[in-house]
Amino acid sequence: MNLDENLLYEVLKHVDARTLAMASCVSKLWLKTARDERLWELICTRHWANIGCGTQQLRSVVLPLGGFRRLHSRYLWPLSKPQAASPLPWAPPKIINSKPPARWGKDEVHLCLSLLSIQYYEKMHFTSRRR
Amino acid sequence: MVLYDSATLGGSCSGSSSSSSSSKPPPLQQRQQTQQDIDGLLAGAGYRVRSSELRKVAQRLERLETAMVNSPADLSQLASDTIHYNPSDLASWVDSLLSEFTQPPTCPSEFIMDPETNQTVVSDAWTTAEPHMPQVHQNISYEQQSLNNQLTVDNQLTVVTAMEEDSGIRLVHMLMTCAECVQRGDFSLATSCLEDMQGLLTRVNTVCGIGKVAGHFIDALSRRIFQGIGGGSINGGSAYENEILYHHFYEACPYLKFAHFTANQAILEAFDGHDCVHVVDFNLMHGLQWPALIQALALRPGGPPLLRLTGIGPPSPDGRDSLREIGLRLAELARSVNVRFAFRGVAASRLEDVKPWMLQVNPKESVAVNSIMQLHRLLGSDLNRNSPIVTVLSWIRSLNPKIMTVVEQEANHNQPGFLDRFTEALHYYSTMFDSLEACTVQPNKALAEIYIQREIANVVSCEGSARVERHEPLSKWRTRLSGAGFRPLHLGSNAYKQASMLLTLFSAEGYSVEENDGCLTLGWHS
Repeated sequence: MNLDENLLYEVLKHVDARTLAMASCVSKLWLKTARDERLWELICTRHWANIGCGTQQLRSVVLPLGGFRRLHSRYLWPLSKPQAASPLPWAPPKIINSKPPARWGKDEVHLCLSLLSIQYYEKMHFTSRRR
Repeated sequence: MVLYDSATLGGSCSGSSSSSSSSKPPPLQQRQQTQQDIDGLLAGAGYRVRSSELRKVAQRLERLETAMVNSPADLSQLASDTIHYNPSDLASWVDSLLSEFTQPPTCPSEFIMDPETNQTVVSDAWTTAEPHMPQVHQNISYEQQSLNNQLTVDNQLTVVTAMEEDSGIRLVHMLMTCAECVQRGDFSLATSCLEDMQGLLTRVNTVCGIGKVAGHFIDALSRRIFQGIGGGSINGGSAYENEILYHHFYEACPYLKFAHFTANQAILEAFDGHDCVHVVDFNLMHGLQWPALIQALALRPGGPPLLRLTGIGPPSPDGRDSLREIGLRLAELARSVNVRFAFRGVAASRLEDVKPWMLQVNPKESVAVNSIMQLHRLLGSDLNRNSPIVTVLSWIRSLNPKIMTVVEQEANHNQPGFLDRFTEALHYYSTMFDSLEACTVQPNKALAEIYIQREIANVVSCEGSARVERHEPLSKWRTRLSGAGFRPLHLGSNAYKQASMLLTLFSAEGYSVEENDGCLTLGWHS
């Protein structure tokens, strides 16, 4: 069983976000593996611009604040979807053939990270308020 | 505010709508004297109908229409043989016509007036293209299906909507008239104006649009008239309440988020290369601005600096130290991302009570002063040399901060003349409410509206030291700040991009970010 998990992990390292998310619906084992933060870290960082900090530094911030999977699903992914809103000067390149999303620029990444931190703070703030 | 520029009225009132813009409403004195006032708008079209009978007449016209449609045979007879006297007296004319028909009246069962919620439902016969009040349209299909079964043919049916836009315009006129009376000191006239407006409110949709805003302004005016200036303030809400309202306002619309993100971007850039940094927040509230800065500093290439945060806020009366609680949360967040962090809370009920020594600024550190909608509270009525704003700006300057971020409302609500202020506020807050409507529906909206309502009440019903919402336009702030020794720093394109992205993410229609000589403005247009 252990081997399956490791093999699965190795395979999932190469898939895109959509596939990884779908993989978590297959079975309990797949769910556990597909939720591995390292996989989602790969998904996030594979396509984003260099934001200047080291990998360890990034991990030490993102993991405590909710993790890469949440960062992707709540903020990076919605931001990369083509919007029906008015055209913006920085508009990201169109997604063709529903391939993995195009590069996230520095500003997009920073915005998403900020939103992640606020969300973490709000949850933390209001949970403890109820005490 | 462009709500009524393209207003059109269909049905039988189209004649009166075109004349409504040119004819003025009858002077107030006349209306007080005549017991049975004639509706001004129909009068413009040549019909004399008493305002009190408008509903009855409308109902009968509807019946007449149905009857005529159902019996075309009688129609020809009506056209040739019947004699009608005085058609300008619409009420009796309709009655006499109706008596010509022998068929019992069958009314379309689509007109409803819900007395409890003051909400009118529009049916297709009377409705026009009303792009300004989409909410009313949404109600139609829903209400029709549920209520068609309940209605019987009786005299309870009323139709008001064609009057509704008229009422909206009239409300605005009356608000202006009332404000003018208040400025003149003619309180008896103002009071009767208020009563008229209360009556008019029942005929207007107060859930959205002009009805809602007008309701708040009417409240504020009555506070001013009956409780006097200063006594009418509803700022007496506890600090805890204010925090809750502020939080809901933060969630419901993008204004505060935009303010926080833009200010943080500027602070981040200013702190580049510094290892000891100190942020002074003039209004801590829940500290929602700071998690993002802490996170951004944590990811700084080269590692985070030592961050000190001094949060100013009102003292908490019930023994709770809310400032310290917020500080603890922020410290916990900072600890989890390995940022060295120190917090200090300064409790002060007014910003002018804060003295620079309370902030304990270390000469070696880089200071950022952050003021989100706080400076305008210092613009007391007498702007002499020792006015609070001058004092505060000078001690801020003496701290020699690396950067000072100022966010303010772009409005002119500090004019000495009441009527001018009132007019400005009416425009500004109507648009503000509309912009709130444009945001995605959330449970926060109601409380966010109360937050805005308090501002309105303060601008309209208070004077002197009680009036703290003294918004001034950007140009004035520029002058004031440069006069105090500050040099403007242009916000980079990062800030602009971030603001635009923020708007996309929160998918709010109608919002736009503009750059104004280095300053960023968030606005909304319909």
